[in-house]
Amino acid sequence: MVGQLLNDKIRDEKWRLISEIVTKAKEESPFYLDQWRHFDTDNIRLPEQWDQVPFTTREQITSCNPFHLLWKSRKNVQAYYESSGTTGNPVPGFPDLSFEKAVLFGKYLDEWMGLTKDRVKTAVVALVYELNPTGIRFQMALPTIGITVIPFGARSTVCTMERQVRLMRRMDPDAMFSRPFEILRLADCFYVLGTDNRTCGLSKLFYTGEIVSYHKLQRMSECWNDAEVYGHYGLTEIDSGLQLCSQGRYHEPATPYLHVEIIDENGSGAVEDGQCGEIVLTSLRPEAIRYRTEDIGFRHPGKCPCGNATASYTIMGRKVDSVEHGEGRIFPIEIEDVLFSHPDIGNEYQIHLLPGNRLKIVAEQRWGTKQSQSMLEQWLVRQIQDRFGLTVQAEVREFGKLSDRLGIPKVKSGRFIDLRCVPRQDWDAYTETNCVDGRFLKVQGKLITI
Amino acid sequence: MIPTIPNKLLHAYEKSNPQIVDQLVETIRYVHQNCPFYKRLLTKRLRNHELNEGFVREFFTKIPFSSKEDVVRNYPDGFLAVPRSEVVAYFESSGTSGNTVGSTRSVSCFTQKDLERDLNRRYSKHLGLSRDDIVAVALPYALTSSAYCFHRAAQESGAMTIGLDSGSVLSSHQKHLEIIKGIGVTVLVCSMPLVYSTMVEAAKESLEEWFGSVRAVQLCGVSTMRNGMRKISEKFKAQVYNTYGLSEFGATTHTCEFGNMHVYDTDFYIEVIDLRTGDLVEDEHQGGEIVITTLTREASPKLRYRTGDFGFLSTETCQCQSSSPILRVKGRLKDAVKLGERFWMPIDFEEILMADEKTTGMYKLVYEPKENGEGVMIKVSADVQDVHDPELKERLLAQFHERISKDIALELNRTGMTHEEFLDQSKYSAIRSMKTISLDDRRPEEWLVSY
Repeated sequence: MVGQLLNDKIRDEKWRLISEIVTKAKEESPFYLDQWRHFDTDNIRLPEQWDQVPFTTREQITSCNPFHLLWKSRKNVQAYYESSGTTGNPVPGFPDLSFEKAVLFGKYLDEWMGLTKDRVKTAVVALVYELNPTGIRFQMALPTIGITVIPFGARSTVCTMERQVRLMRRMDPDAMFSRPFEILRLADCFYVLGTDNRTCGLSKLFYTGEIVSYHKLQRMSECWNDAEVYGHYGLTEIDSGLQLCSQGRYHEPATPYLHVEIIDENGSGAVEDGQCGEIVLTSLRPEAIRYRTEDIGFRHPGKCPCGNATASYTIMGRKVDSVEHGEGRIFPIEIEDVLFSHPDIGNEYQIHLLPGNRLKIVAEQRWGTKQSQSMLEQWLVRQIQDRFGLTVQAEVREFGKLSDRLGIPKVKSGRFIDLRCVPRQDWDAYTETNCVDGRFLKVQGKLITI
Repeated sequence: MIPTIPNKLLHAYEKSNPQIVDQLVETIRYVHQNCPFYKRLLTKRLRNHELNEGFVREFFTKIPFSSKEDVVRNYPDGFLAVPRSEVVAYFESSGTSGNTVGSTRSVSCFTQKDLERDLNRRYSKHLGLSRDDIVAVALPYALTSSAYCFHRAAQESGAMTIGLDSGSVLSSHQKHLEIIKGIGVTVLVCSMPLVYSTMVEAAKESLEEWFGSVRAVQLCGVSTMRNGMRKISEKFKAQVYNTYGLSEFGATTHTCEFGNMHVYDTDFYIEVIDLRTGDLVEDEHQGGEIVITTLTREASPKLRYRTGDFGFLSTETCQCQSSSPILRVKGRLKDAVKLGERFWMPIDFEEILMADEKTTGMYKLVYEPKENGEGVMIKVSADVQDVHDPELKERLLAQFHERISKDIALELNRTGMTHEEFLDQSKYSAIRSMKTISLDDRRPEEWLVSY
């Protein structure tokens, strides 16, 4: 633990901020006043004592009055949001969406992504707006560095995939801010609509909202003319996150906004570098302290080959999304990495968890491929067996037979679809990829000839 | 010499904005110099004229109209009056009136200054937004300007803002209701608040319990008139403010304390024209198509832009003492239906329903062509508190027949049943048509847009 805290160049400043936050917590936050009623903050004077600070759990946050999470010293409390609640109760958050913050965020993105240096003039923001600050945060920040924003939203019936393709063709944006799932689906939609997305001038992709495997990262770039890909790992409830590097690892920010720990999943203490554990975040702004994210990952020992001096991590996924098998545990992202390592396997897939803890991978041929479905199925089964010692079923369908790309997807990728307790006759409904299909959107839209 | 004033409307505007003629001169000069479309449109017409006050007074009403079709044909830069590098926001109309799948090409760009001006216009000062308010915005954030600008404007006033969105498959009315109640929303920004009250009534729960914290409802996106505003006010026990907002312009009006929508006449010059002749309508009770000229817009200025909306413009001084013209908007002209010798708008039916205290405000109109091909039969379905009320149906039908036409049939439904699918979030099929759920137009298409 101490090593984790001290192995950072900026440890002194970080510790000063952490101490300050812990000291103020009970005075300023009704939530911590209640949760820490038996914990004396005066006992925390040295970094070595940090692991005595109690964890904050998702359950505590979701069961309290959301306003109790507000710290008195927080200025600019201009927004309330909740996580989508896909893994339980929604988690509330009060992100800073002030104009001043937007200016800082714009500057941060610019420095990181080289937006003005590379003359990015127009960007689409295809991120969620509903009860999530992500979309509006980018829509506010990008104009502060002179970029025109086209707000697509995400999973919106107003801006359908088809409409997005048409807009992309006509407006030719330089950058896209979206989720990995939509970045790849949009590329497929170009093909479905008979046009070539490689003629788009898109040069920078930014993703958030999902973690992705190394090969999926490469696929995203490849699908969009070898565009540069920038990624972010964060949570709705914490106003900071980790940055993706060229090696596919996530780095702590250079500025001391966030403290990251990897702990044993039982909460008994820190794990060694290189070992998987639960990710615990402490925001160095008045937000959450030692927040157990329920995400699993590990810290890489030593310096990252990308050259960034800050600590780097690999995020495996949510604890609830992993499956135990004879040889250990497997996360969807590991299977995803295998899928995307084959150039003839398409961009959308599902992993079904069947009765008896059996796994079935359903994927598609990539458009234009000559590889047969049966060859791809055999390759998949063999690869999973070789890499994880796990026997799976594989079904590779023709392109477009798993999901209608023009529809609106139900959930993001990177999850198991658990069919273990679902009656067989309901499997089709459970494995439906879209909640609204493209055909419906056309019928309702009374499409006019263009 | 300045000629006599042939334009009474312009004269009326001058009472509240003495600079308006100068602003119009400057607008014409600006669009002619900077906007490719208007350059083509105006060059010949301005050739033998000096562009000054006299020109505006004498010839303004002779300037040709522009329309959404022009914007679409000149997509994307034909109406752009600044370099693209100065544009900070790109919006389009949502497409509820036509093409909802592809790009509508009805583009509207904003510079930073355009955006700042629009933010200032979003909320009426009578609404009095403050740091104590919690504002929930349930409008679409994708592509259109309204949600983003209402959101930003609420933040600028110091209020806490919650983006609920609309038209996203993540948006659930039930979730919105829980947020309104759970967080204690004080100002609700949406286009159809009666969806929420109907859901509560259908569950036989107390409106007071769910909406006790709401002190104001800000409408945008659909036309709502007196009886509709009164109904919303009664259901929510809240003040109701309406804004005539278009993606092309942003907010163009604000509501005063007497419930009238005043034109922001330092930013817009709004006219109402006769549909057939294109002349200005001088009789305030006659109504016509709403035509808008921007006075301060930098990125996408418009000159005499036909909105396709029907409305009335009054230049009488309001009880609030403002002499800014008052606009009443009745809805989209394409939704008008001819019964007998007159055209009727859906809102004419709505106002009859809204006036009755036993309706919930949820309704649906079906325009069905008669089998003999002559005319249209209208079927009205409406949610009511008690479908077995013996007098209610008679009373409503009598009003439809007396005030509109005998070719109207009426069906009463239990609360929540008229739009059962729409209110049930598990049936996603209903989500996309939020703005248009109240009209099912089965008349054959009389025109086809083909680009």
